[in-house]
Formats: sequence, structure tokens, C-alpha cells
Amino acid sequence: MPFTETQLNVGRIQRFCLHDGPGIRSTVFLQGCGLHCWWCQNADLRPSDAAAARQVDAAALAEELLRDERYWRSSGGGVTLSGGEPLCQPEGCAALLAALGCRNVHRCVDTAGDAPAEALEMLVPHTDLWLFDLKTGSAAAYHDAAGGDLGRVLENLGSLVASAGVDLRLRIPLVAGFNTDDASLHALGECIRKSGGGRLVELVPGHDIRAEGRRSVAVTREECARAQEALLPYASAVEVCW
Amino acid sequence: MKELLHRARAALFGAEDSVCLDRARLVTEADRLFADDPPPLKRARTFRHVLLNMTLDLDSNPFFAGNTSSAPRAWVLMPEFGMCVGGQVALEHEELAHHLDDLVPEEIVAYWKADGRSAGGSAGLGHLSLDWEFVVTRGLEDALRRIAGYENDTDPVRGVYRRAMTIACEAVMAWAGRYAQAADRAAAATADPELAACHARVAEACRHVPGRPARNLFEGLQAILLVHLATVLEGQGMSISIGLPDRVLARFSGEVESEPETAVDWISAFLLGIAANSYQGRGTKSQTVTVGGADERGDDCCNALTLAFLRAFDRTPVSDPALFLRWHPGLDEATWDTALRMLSAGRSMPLLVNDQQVVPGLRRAGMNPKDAWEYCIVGCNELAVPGRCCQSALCTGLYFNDLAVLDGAVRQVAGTARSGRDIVEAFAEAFAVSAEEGLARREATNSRLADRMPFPFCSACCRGCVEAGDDLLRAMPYSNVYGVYTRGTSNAVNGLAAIEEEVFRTNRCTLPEYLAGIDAGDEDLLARVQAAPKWGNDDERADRWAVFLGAARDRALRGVAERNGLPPFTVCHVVRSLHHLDGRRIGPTADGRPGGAPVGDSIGAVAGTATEGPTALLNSVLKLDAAQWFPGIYNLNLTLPAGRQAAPPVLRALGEAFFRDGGQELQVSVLDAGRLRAAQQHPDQHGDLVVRVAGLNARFVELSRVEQDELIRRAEQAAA
Repeated sequence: MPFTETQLNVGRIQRFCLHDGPGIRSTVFLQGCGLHCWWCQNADLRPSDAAAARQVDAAALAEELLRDERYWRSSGGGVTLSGGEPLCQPEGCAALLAALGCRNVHRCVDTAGDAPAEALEMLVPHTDLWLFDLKTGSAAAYHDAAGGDLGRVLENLGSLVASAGVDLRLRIPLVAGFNTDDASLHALGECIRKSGGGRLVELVPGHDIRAEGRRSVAVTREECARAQEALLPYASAVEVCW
Repeated sequence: MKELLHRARAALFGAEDSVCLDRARLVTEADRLFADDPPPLKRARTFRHVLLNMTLDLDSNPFFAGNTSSAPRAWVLMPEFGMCVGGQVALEHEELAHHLDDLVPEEIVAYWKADGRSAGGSAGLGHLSLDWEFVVTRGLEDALRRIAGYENDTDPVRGVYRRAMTIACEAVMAWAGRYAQAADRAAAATADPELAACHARVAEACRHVPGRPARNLFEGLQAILLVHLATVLEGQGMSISIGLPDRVLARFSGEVESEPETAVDWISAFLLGIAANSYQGRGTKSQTVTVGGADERGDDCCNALTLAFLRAFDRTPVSDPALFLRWHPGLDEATWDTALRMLSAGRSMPLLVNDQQVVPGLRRAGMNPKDAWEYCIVGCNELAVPGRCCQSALCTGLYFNDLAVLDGAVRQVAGTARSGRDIVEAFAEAFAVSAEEGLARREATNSRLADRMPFPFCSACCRGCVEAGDDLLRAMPYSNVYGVYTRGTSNAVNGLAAIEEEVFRTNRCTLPEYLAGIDAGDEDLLARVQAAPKWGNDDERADRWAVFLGAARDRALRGVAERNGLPPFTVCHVVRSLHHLDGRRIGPTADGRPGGAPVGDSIGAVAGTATEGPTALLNSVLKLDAAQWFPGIYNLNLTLPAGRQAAPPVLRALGEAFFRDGGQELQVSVLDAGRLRAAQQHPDQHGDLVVRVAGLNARFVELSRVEQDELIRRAEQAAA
């Protein structure tokens, strides 16, 4: 199948999402991600060449998504690009977001931010809200666990924060045995502070994935409450997305 | 007051179903006494005999006068029709299937069996809402005055019918008088001042209503309750409705504003009075209350009563009557907010109906604007206009299972069909033939019932009957608007989509081979059918067949109506638990459904086939032209898991988007599988859990295991 700049490699689409931005949303899970977080709940979306994925032209995808426009309008919702990693497909994402923008649809990008700055810049004009994942404040831990470059993540976060008119929420996946101890939470808090602080932080508790043959990342409600308390000094509010 | 209310509720919820023989004995006596009278007079005098001799019960619920049997939930027998447990009641409550065995004295059974005295069924046709505006604002004496105005009419048939109406109305007033005297005695006999005050209030009200106009809210409620229960004692069974009480009682909304808590308590007690006196105990599930909505000018009709009714249902979660809320774009915000909070909390009520789709449908069926804007729900979800039309008159004999009709049609044209559209055409032809036959049956049934089992009291409380001197089945303003019941539509759509995919698009097999494979349970074929596009997922490959089917049925019915010189039929998608019964009656079908399995429980997706979530389901349904193809209303259940997906703002967004873009009805069930399982294991701890099953509301702990398991499956699927 030919793959052009306005095409997207789509893993799946989920309608009636309530956790990926405001209101009722349709979330496009894009296929392909350069990280390999061991707690990833969408591990099937990591490879860019999965058989289940489909290549869709951005304009056609926008039309497909717009079937739920009535619910976005009535709820203040819209479309969220997630993954996988949207920044792995910046041209296609920009085309899709632009097409949706022409219909005044609220657009949200959920990213780990670990991508070339140019990719980020391509999406900035077409994104109404960034859900920016921050997994740890330790570069070494990040590299070991996800294979990523925390310096690049924080640089991208900094440039987003510095951009005029950008709305951004930080999202922290709470992963048992990875970032729930005091030191990890403190390091995360420092990253939040350095990125400007005072913004909404969403905690996304890990779920039990032992059934998939991996160790559990599930956190307890008590651990969530403790993380919430630890991060509150750095943020305007800390919400737990159960 | 709270303590008395608590006791009344406990008396109802704690009551086991029993049987009251009062009415059966009195009706049997009266049938002998008045054997030589013409039917209207015999029925009126029998009714009077019952009302003058029934046991009065002011103890179970001291807030209001009115009981149809000697104890809460004691069944009221109607031997003049028959004494059987309805198929739906038996299905929903296995333990009630043989409830009447050996409880009715042999002399009563034998009397009614002899000479074919019973008319058939177990009660009158129901599906009726009286002219409550007349009951509350003018009173029965007004009917007597109007009847007296026809004293110069020399037609003997009309004369007899009007005489019967007079006897019946006077009997109801005398019945109220008996309560007044009994309540006076009870007030004098009790040392409890609060109870004495209750009895005194009842005595004062019953000296006045329902003969004369109600002077205050309490009298309005008392008048409605007495007349409602009188319709039961006259012989109506399932599906009798108190219409639009917030409109009828609107003149008393000032009382509610000044003492809202008192009003909510009274309405709670009023609802308990209805629930305790339904004719087949817990098996009766189709009495209704409708609130909200707009009038013909588009003005919102909500008032303090609307909110008080919602709060009373929230506080006293009875399963019957069921509460419906009429939505329109200008609906009062406080009312809408309260409704959404109730639904979000898992109350399963109110059920939501959209004026903007229902009213145009009724207009197309020939109703004038004012009447159409005064519709209410009767029965599971059928429509009526209080005192002006009776859904049972609309529906007798015109029952369809779309899936069964399609099954017959597809087998008939299996050798010749070249496309799915050919099958749809055959469906339309089969539908038209069945509709002609059903129409003939309906006319015969209604005529027989009107002649042999007239309802002079109900008729006196409906429009046009006093003037015509005739029974409501013939004399109500819209008695010539006939309706059609349908079910199984979702399965039929899935069947057509699967045939299209398997036979006409991929040519994997011929249509006869397809049907043979279905009948033989060919596993490979069934797996492919299972994977074929399914209705309810916003998938054009399936949804287009719903559009073809709806249009074809509409075309067929219009032809039948025109050929018979009738206004367009109404079409009502109604299930209650008939999806089980219907399913048992038909073998394997083209959608891959095994023989005997239930058909879909609403116009929504067949159980387990909605994979794209609620917005996709609602989008599929929005492709139906509701006002055109379902001018009698469809039945759409939407199940959501408890929690964030069912938060009030989410329900608001779904409901408003759906209704603004053409949705007609929405029944939201917010289910928590864990709580349902807990309630199944510990029913004593979950008595207040009311759920929506298919076309009925029920206390979960009182449902049969089959129905409970189905709800648990729905909850699990919604949460998946």
C-alpha cells in the first residue's frame, strides 16, 4: 500500500473516550512508537508495520471521525491523537488535525514528546490541547525503562510551554515499581516545576497487566493519593484518571 | 409522616403476591343477578355491586383512599375475561406461573367456564389513559350533567349506554363516600394524632372528589387515584396510565412551591397506592406516569409538580408505575438535571421521550396539533392521548415480529431473489398480507368487546363517548387510528446484512444453501455470519438494511390503510419481555440466531453485537426516520456501566445530541455488574434496586433468574 505524507498508519479508533481530553472524544491510536516502555498498555501499537494497522488518508479519516461530531459538540469534546506515538507521523497528523480544524473540532495530541523538535512544531498550529506524558524525572531510569531521551522530552516540553497560546496538561503514568517512590515523585515534581509549574497534572494509574505475561504495574488507591499529595505543590491541580 | 410513609412502603415491598377473591365473588354474584340486562347495564350494575361491597383498606396506606384488593399485591381477579397468568408475567416471574392454581374456588371457575361466559384473556385491553383533566377539574358530576342533556335522545341503544355510564359514575362517587365514612371512623378510633390527621384529610377529600372538582393538590391526587383504581375494578388490567399529572395538577403548583417536602411525600404515597393495587401484583409492570414536555405553542409545561414527581420516584423507587419524561429543547433545566442525576445513579427512570419526533409522528397519524402535544405513554412504551385514544384499540391483532416476517419472506423467494432488495420487497408483501389479516381480526375483536364487554365508567371518563352514547373502543376521537406492534427489527437487519455479504457480495453460497446452512447449524457459515456487519455499530453495510426495511414496511402499511379507507397506522416497537417469547416461537434465522433464542430486546443492537460503543449505536438508530416509520414510538435501551461513562454531563451530552438530531426515545440503564451479582445473592439487601429490562421496569430482586442473568450480561458487556 502506498504511504504518502497525508496518510496515517492507524492502529485503531476508539469512540466515546472520556479520559483523553475534555468531553466525549474519538481517540485515534496511531500505529508505531519508538519507545519500549515495559508497562505499555498498548504494546501492540509499538511496531509501525503491524498487520492489523490500516493506512488511511487524513481527509478520509477526518470524515470517518466526524460521524461523532454531534457528541463532541454537545459535550465540549473532540478528537485525540494517541498511540503509538503521534509524533512519529507528523505530516499525516498535521493534515488530519488541519482538516478537523476546518470544522472547528477540538483537537488533542497525547504524546510522550520524545521526537525531533520539527515534528512537534508541525503539530503546534493545529493542536488545541497537548497531553504531554512525563514518565520520570530521571534520565537514566527513562532510558533504561523506555529507551528514550529525557533531555529531548524536556526540551520539547519547554518549547511547548514557551509557545504562545499552547494549552497543555502533564500526564504521569503511575507505574508500580517504577515511579511511585518518594524520590521518583520528587524528581517528577522538579520536572514539573522546571517546565513552568502551576498547571494541571493528570495521574494515570497503571492497571493489572499480569494476564499478558508481564509483571503488574497496578497501583493502589493509597499510592495514587500519596502521589497526588506529593505532586500537588508543583501543580495547580492533580487529578487521578481512574 | 416519614414514619407512616416508611411503613406503607415496607408493607408493599414486604408483601408476597396473594389473591383477593372479593371482586371475583362479587362479579360472579352480579352476573347472575343482572343476567337479563343488556351488556352495558349488566357491566355497570356489576361494577356498582363491586364498589359497594369491596373490602376497604385504609391501613396499608393511610395517606390515600383506594384499594382494589384486600391486601397490597393481592391479585384482582377478572373472571368475566378469564383467570390466567399472562405469558410475560410467567416469564418474568417463574414463581408466579402457577400463582392462581387451586386458589380460586371451583364454583367461580365452573361458572365462568360454562357457556363460554368469559370473554377471553385475563382483563380488558388496557393501554388506556382517561381524560384526567376532566376528572380533576370538572369531576364525575359533570359527566352526569352532560348525560342528562341527552334525555331527549330516543335512540334506545345510546340510551342504554348513557344509563350505564350514569350508574357507573354514581357508583364511583358512592365508593368514595364509603371511604369518607370509613376514614371518619378510623380517625376517631386512633390515638395517633398523625394518623388521625391522615384519615381526616382522606375523609374530607372523599366527601368531595371525584364527584366534584378538586380544590387542592391532595384532592387532585385522591381523585386521580380513586378513578385509576376504579378502572381496574371495572376490569382494565395491564397498562393503564395516569397520563400527565404535572399538567393536570398544575393549578396546584403553588402548594408544591410553598411546601415541597409535603408534596413529595404525598406523591410518594400516591405512587405506592398505585403500585400496591396493580391487578396482577408484581407481575403488572406497565402503569405509567408521564411528565414534562412542551405544548402546541412550544412552551415548556414543567412546573413544581414535575420536579416533585421526579423526586418522589427518586425517593420511592417503585418499579410500577414507570416514569417517563418528555424532552424538548426548552425543557426546564432543573427538571433535566434531576432526571440526569437519577439516571446516572442507576435509577433506570425516567425514560426519555422526544417531543420533536413523537408529535410529528402522531400528526401524520391524523391527530390535531393540540391533541398530539398532549400525548402520554401507556403500557411499556406505547403512546396515547389521555381520554382521546386508546392504544389497545390501535394494536389488537396487528402484532409483528419483523424477524419472523423476514424469515418467511426470505424462504419464499430463496430460489429467485437476486439481491437483498428483492428480499425486502418480499418482506413488504408479506407484511401487507399479514396486516390485512390482522386488521380484520382487530376490527372483529374490538367490535365483540365493545358489544359484549363494554366499559361504561372508563367511557364516561373519555372524550366523545357521552355524546355518542357508545363505548370508548368505538367513540373516542381517534378510535380509527390503528397501530402495529413490531419486534425483532434488529435481528432482521442483521440477517439481511449477512445475506448480502455471504450470498450477493462474495457469492460464497446461494441463498438456498445459506438457509440450509443456517438450519443445519453449519459452524463455518455461522462464524462468517457472526463476523458480518451488525446493526448498532454505525456501519453502513448493516444500517442501510434498516433503512430499506423501515421504508418497505411503511410503504406496505400505507397501502393497507389506503385500501381500507383509514388514516396511516401508528407503528410501535415494543418488547417488554416478548423478545424471549417471540424467540421461543421461531427456529434458526438468517442472522445466525439459534432456534428458540431471544430476539433483540430493543431497536438497539442485538445482545453482544455492539462493539463500537454508545455513540455508534445512537448513530445507527438516528438513521431511522422515527416520525415516519415509528409514529407509535420505538424502544431503545442504552446500557452504560456505572461511573464516569454515565456521569450526568455525559448522559446530558448523549441525550441532547441524540434528541436534537432526530432520536425519538432513550431508555438509559446504568448498571453495575458487581451490584447486580450481589443483589442476586443477597436480595434482602438490595430491595430498592430498580432496573429496566427490555420494555419494563422491575425491582431486580423480583425478576426471574433468566432476566437477572440477562441484565448481568448486559452490565458486563457495557463495562467491557
